[in-house]
Formats: sequence, C-alpha cells, structure tokens
Amino acid sequence: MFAYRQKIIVYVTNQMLMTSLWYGKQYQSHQTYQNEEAGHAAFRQYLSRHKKATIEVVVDAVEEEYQLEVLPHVAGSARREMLTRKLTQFSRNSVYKTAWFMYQETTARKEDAYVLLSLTTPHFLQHWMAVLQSEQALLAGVYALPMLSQFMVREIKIVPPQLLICERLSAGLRQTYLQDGRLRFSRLTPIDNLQTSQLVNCYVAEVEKIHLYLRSQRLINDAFTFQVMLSSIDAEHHAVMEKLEQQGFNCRIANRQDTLKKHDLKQSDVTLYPQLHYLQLLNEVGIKANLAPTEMTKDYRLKHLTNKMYMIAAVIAMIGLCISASLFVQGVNKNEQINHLTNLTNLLQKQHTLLISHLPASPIAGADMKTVVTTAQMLNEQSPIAMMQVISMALKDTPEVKISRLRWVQSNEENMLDGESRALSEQANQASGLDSALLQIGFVDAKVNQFDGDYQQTLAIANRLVTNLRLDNRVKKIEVMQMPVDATLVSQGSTSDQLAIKPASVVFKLKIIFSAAEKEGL
Amino acid sequence: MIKPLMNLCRTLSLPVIGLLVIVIAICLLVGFASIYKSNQYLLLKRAEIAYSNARERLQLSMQEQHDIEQYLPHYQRLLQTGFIGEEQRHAWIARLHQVGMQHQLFNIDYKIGQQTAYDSKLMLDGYKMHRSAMTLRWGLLHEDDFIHLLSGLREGISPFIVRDCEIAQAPDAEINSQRLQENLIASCVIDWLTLRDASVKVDF
Repeated sequence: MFAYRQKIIVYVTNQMLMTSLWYGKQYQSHQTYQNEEAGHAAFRQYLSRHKKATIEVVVDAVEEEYQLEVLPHVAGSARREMLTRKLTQFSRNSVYKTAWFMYQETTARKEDAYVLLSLTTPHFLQHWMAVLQSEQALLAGVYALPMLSQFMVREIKIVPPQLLICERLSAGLRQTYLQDGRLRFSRLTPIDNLQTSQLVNCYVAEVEKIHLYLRSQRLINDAFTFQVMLSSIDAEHHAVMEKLEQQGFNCRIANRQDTLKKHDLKQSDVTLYPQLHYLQLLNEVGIKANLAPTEMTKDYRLKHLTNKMYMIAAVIAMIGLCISASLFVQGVNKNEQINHLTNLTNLLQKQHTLLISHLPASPIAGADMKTVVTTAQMLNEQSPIAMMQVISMALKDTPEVKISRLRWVQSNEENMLDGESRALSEQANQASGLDSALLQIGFVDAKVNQFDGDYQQTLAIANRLVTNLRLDNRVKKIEVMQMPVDATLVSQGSTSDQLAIKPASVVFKLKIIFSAAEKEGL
Repeated sequence: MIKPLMNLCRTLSLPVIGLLVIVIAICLLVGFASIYKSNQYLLLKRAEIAYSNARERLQLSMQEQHDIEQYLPHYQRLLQTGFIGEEQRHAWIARLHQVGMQHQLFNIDYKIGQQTAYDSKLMLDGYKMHRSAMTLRWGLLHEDDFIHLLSGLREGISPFIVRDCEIAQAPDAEINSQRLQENLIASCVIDWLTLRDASVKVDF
C-alpha cells in the first residue's frame, strides 16, 4: 500500500528515456536508457524492480501538434462526444491525443477554450510503451512536456500576457508560447553537438522563426512583441539574451536556482538534465488532461480504485473503532456511577433499617399523630374570651357606654346577621368543616347612659368606641348596625311643641369581624 | 470482453470483500457498544431511582421518628382525655359540676345532644371524627364567670369547639355588687369532638 506512493516519472525523447524515481514529493534517483534493445531490456529490469510504483510519462519530441479550439459550453456525455469528435478531426491517426481545458470565455455564450494536443507519429514511443505494458506497469498518464510549462511560470511567478519560454532540454531547444499564462503553442528543435557561438546563433534563429510563425498565425502582432524567457540553467543564457536584445526582443532570465533548492534537486543533476525541474512539477501538480488512451491506464485506475477502497475501509474501521470506543467508555463510566449509587443506596437502606428498629412504639403513624395533636390544639385556641378582651380594652376610653348584649359566633359567612338563628350558624360551621378558616363575628348591643338629649355628643361617643375598636389589629371590619339616632323612623312635630320626654339612654348596635390571621390570638 | 471483466472482478473481489467485512464488523461492533451503553444507561436510571427511593424512605422514617418523639406524649394525653376513642360525656358533666363548684357559679343548665358524624376534611387513616353538641345556659354575677367556665372546661378533658355564645343582661336585673344575683345570662353551643376508629360502626 505504501509502495503506491512510489512514483516513476519517465522522460522520453526520440533518442533516449530517463526515469526519475520519487517517493512522495522527494526526488530519489534517475536512470537513462538509450532507445535501443539494450536500453529497452535495462528499462524492463528497472520496472521489474518497481512493480508497485506509479508511472507517468512525459514526452518531449518534435512529433507534436497543438490547436486552440473554442467550443460550446456543454457537460456530461455531450461534452465527451463533442471532444472525441473534435480530437478525431484534429488527429485521426494518433493514439496519443487529448483536449485540455484552458478557460471559459467571458462572453455571453460562455464558451469553453481547449487546447487540442497530439503526438503525431510517436514511433519512438512504441518500444517503451510495449515494455510498460509487458511489465504491467501502473501507467497513470502520458503528457507532453509543454503541458508543464504553464505550471512552471506560475511557480516562478513570471506571467506576462505573452511569453515565449526558450530552454535547452535533453531533447533539444524547446520553445513554448504562453498567452496569459496558458499554453498556446510549442516547438522542439533538436540540437546536436553545436559550439557555443553556433548555439547562440541557433537560439536567435529559432526565436526569430517562431516569431514569424506566431505573426503568421496572427497570435501576435507588430505592435505587441512577446517576452522571451531564458533559463538561468542554460550556460549560454547571457550571450543569447544579449544577442536577442540586439535583435529587438524583450528578454528576461528566469532564476531557477531558488526553485531547485526548494525541491531538493541537485544543481549538477539539473544542469545535466534540465527537464528534471519539469518532472518535479508533474510530481506535484495534477494534470487532468492525459494523452494516453484509457486502455493503457486501466491497470493504474484499477489499482487506484482498489487503494481507494482500502482507504475507505480503513477510514470506516477507524471511525467505527472511535465510535465504539467512545460508547464503551461512556458505558464503563456509567457502570462506575451505578456502582457508586448502589453503594450509597445500600448505605441508606442500612441506615433506614437501623432507624426503623429503634423507632418508638406508636399506635398510629407519626404524621397522623401530628395531625391529631395539632387539630386538638387548634380546637382549644378558638374561644370568645379574646373578643371580650378586645371590647373591654376599647371601652376603657368610653365609660359612658354600657354593653347590654354580646354575641360571638363562628361562621364562614361574613354577611351573617345577628338575627340569624343559631341552628343556621351551626349548620354552616359543620358544612364548612373543622379545617376551614372560619370567621369570628361579634355582635354588640350597647347603650349610652345618662343621655341628656345631646345626640351629637352621643354620636361622638359611639364613634369613639368604633375608632378604638378599629385600632386593634385583631379587628378586621366593623359595621355599625344601628346608630344612637334612628334615621329609619319618621320624625314629625312642631318647634312650638314642648320637647318630648327624653329617654334615659340611647342604644346602638355593632358588628365586629375579626381577622382570620389573628385567629390564633383570639 | 469476458476475460477483462473476469480480471476486473478478480482484482476488485478482495478489496470489495474486505470493505464489506470491515463495514459489517464495524456495524456489529458499534451496535454492540451502543447496546452496552444503552443497557448501562437503563441500569444507571434504575440505580438513580433506587437511590432516590431509599433516600426518600430514610427521610420519611426520620420524619416519622421526629413526629413520634414530639407528639406521642400529647397524643397519649388526648387518649386519656377521651378525644380519641369512646366519648366520655360523663366526664364532661362531672367536669361541668366541678368547675361550677370551684368558681361558685350559679346553676348551669346543660343539654348534650346525640353524637353525630362530623363532616371534616381532616383525613386520618382509620379514624373518623364525631361531634356531640352541648348547649349551656348559666347565670353570671359578672363577666369573669363566663371566662371561668369556658377555661375550666378546657382543663383536663377532651377539646371542644365553641360555636356560638351570647351574654346578655338578665331581664329586669339591676347591677348591685352587694347582692349575689344573676346579673347576666350566658348561653353557649359547643361541640365536643371525638376521634373514633372508623371500623367501628355507630348507629345514629
């Protein structure tokens, strides 16, 4: 499973094949093989040693073709059919071809722009692919080297509107034209055993050629000259730059040293095989377009699917184990709580048993006993004596008043009248029950003695008594049932008449309702 | 066509079976763990209820002990005075005579009615309340005689409810402290209450 992380990125040219071994993102080693019988055999042996490694092939050859196509924006099977038809039209005989999505137009139709790529006559590739197939290598994809150029410029952060990358690789001089950082065209010129001065002239001549080609294709115009980017890895880059600038080209050097350090690539290796930088890019970025037909990558996809299933199984197992562990831990924690509670319950039961065994003998339950005793106490608290005390206190300030009759009754009717029979009050009391809050009502018949005919004074005396009674907080309400002056009678006579004989005393009647809250005190 | 398909099946069979086995095993494991946790949860709830019940029982017993210790002497006194059990109307009449003699009261007329069931909300297991209404009428030299009788009746015998009392001047009476005469007439209705075993049927 972990061997799956091993990746072999193969760089193929017309003459040779170079393997680079990667473990994760780390570069390990490289090997080169000539395109001949011995080279094929050695490559076969190499593959047999790395059966589980994923293989990716980068082709750097002159047999290549590029075409930008703007197609309607469709999806799903319609898109697949449209691209297949376009690719067939573009390169009918080629096995290695693809449509690489570039961008979506910002126009109203939102059409999709694709670069169609194909390897036109890849005879040099057949031997190597045969070895790969015979060894059942896990071929993940086949890519053209210029496909990596746009990732390279993004990495070194040089993205002018129109850029020509001019770089010497193992296959020869590679010139790749990018528009807005996207691949538009590329061309390889094989270079064999040229002197430095010849090499510089070759560079300049090739740049001029491609300049003319791009103009002819109306990809550039006179007013807008592209920028030529040279690699710092090329030994001749200064001389080339000088010569190109003399010709009027706008040049810049891409410093690749920092990038190499970042990826732990040796300077000597990259100087010898500049394409290593591109291979490293392929190891890091994923390119969705793939030149290889689906049959060739079938084993890899199957292996990929298998590994995904193993991964899913592992993830499910991990999640399941975590959930199970969590549930078990919660269960165990609850078990501890259960044990703790059981111990406490046993302790309480022991205390209860001990308490019960030492409980004093009782004829009835304690709660009932309490009710009986408190009821009996409550019965004894109810008496007219307290009412007599209240009236007695109030009479101290009114010695003229004499009580002729006093009635005290318990009732649940606040509006009860003095004339109501005792039987009625008994009935009411009984119906309301012992435990109802009964009102204590007092009826007082009083008279003012030594009446001298001054009714105003008599009224004042009666009112004083009422006021004194009200001062007692045990009194809830007082109603004067009859005043000393009886206003209900008809009074008739003449001022010329002699005054009638004055009565010796005048009578008044009060009804006093005592506060229920003060019942205990009454 | 068939051969690649068979190859595909052969290649994928192991991971598919492995995945299925893992999924089934994990489902079983999670299910078992879930059941274990649910059982423990139920057991915990039961243990909590048992603990709560035991604590409540202990508290009730402690309350019972407290009530018995506090109220048993009072209860025994009520048993002796006849508040609980058979009514002791002879004791009441005796007490009435005793109070009259003690405070030198005028003649006390009394009438005790038939014992009846008392409709009370007071709920006591196995007990039912009964009342016997007593009507009293007696002459007073002064108001203290009224107080002496009611207070005296409360001492040593069963509790009662005073329902209705009236004190009025005796007809044609003129207050003269030098003469022993009935200056006031008092009358009262009181309910003598008794608690009796509910199982004992009383015919009224």
